[in-house]
Amino acid sequence: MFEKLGKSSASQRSEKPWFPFETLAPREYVAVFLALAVLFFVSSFTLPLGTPPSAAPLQRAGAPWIFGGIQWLLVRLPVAVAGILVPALSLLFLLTLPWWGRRVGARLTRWVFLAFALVWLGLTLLYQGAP
Amino acid sequence: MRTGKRDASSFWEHVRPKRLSASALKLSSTFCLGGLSFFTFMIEAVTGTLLLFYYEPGAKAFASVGVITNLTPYGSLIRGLHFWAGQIMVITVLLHMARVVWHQAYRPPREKNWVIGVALFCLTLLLDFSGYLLRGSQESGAAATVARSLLESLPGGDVPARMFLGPESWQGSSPALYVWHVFLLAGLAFFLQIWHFWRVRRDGGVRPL
Repeated sequence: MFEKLGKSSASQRSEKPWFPFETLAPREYVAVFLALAVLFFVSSFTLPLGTPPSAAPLQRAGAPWIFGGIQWLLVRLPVAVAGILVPALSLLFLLTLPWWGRRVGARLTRWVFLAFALVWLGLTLLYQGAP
Repeated sequence: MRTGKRDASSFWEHVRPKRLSASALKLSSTFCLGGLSFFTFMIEAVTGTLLLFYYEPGAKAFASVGVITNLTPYGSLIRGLHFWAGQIMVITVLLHMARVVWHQAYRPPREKNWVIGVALFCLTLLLDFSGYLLRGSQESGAAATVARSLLESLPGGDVPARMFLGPESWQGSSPALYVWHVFLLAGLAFFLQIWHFWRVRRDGGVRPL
């Protein structure tokens, strides 16, 4: 299995210095400790439960922040476009990204991906700020 | 012909090799984003297992979340850890993808691993979304209604809608969605993550011995 490594990695072996795996362990401990510290700090604040089912019905359909961009589009575009076409094309773009990298070049793909990510980030922020 | 023992050893040596290249140890190579994503997933697994003892899907979902938050010892903390680890996981997975694109680490021979990563990204979103619905609040019910409408607008979409959201849901929460969230999506995500790590080494990210 190991012999299946590509030629490039085989040539890199002789050029790069190597370290025992234990070198990485202290860094992993520090990263885990910091992550746990942040998690325990934010988790010490009680999360709201949300609106009870027995309360007066909500006036606005909401979405979790991860789908805020789609929700923002759903209010403004036809459902088939905002809810199906745009997410499907976005997923297709991500899946075919290596192909685009070969087709149009890695540099251009990098900038297109950045623009793609910024558009979705912008839509998510727009949803958070929408009345 | 390989024996099972040798295959298992080979697999483990790929996941945890004995030696690492200097470039793999540089913080700027990864920013620990993949490792942090897996770590938050493990936090999700542990806290989710604890929540299973008190959570009831369906009509009693909202009430059981209230019991966990207000009455169960350390319930609020466990629920908070489960929630925040999930949100942090979404962010670290997104940043991990951006880092991979920026470093052009999706190029051959890592193309297959990029596709596995995109599948993991989708699973992360689905896990986050299903967790949001399982709270059983009115906000969850509204989101479930939107998701069901979208699925049912597709030809034959009522089948996945019933499979994922259940034939009937109580403000988003249903036993079907509970099974997806706890077992199927989480199990598949775990399997794909292990495969993802194995491929990182296999594709030459770190020299295996």
